Amino acid sequence: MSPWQIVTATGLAAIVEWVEAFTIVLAVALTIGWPRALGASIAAILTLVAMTVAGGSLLLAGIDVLWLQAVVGIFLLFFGSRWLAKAIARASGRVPLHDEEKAFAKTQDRLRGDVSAAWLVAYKGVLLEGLEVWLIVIALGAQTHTMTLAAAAAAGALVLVALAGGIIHRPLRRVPENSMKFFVGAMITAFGSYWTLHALGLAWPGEDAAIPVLVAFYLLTGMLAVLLLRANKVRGVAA
Amino acid sequence: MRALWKTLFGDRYTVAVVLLTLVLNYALLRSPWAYVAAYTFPAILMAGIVWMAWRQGE
Repeated sequence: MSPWQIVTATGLAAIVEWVEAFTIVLAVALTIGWPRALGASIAAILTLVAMTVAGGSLLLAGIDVLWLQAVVGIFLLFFGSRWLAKAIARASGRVPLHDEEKAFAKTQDRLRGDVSAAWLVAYKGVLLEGLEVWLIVIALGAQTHTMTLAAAAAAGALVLVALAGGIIHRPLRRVPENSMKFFVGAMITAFGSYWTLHALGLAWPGEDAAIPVLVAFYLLTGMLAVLLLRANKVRGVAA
Repeated sequence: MRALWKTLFGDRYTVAVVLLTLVLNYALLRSPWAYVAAYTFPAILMAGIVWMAWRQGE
């Protein structure tokens, strides 16, 4: 598998998650101030770094490759299928697109005045959104022995989002979050499908070349599903 | 705890779709038609994903 596939999947997934984390941190910062909000975010990121180091060492320390492939593959399937389903539902109009402004207002409403609760919201927000990034870094990095590269892509995405957020000081609405989720969902589901079946004993036709074919399959059938669900919705409204 | 579970595995529909796809294809892999799993696995999983997307609007 090429390093570019790892960097693209990890980087795009990380951007989606960091944008959501930034919205929470911004809402908290405007309630209890930037120093406390940044303190909570840094504490969460340090927790994630410690988890990456510990998780990476554990996974690389003598676990059978097929077991690793199976566990990582199944995790990626949970992740990818959820992301893809959500992206299809949003693209077809069955549920509204994720609105960062709305999420921002909702978080601010929840926080009014309670400093320790606000700190915890920022910590938990960055930790939970970052946990998804962590899982993808561990899953893709450990499996392909490119942990440093995957972690660097996730860190690069964090710097990018922090810089963009720092400049505009508003929720990052212009990021095409759903399209990114669609693409990354298809990629992660393809990696998950490949590794899980490989671990269970399937010799994939074309070996590694099956991965881009799987990505294309999930993307194209996903787009077809968007059209079908959109048409179904219009018919439902007309009836 | 619930947020952590959801982050790791998703909701019960995601778990059901992934597990059902795995069980069906595991059985196929243990049969003489094992090679077919390369085609049935993505097809069954995608059908489940579309069902998950459809039921989100219900």
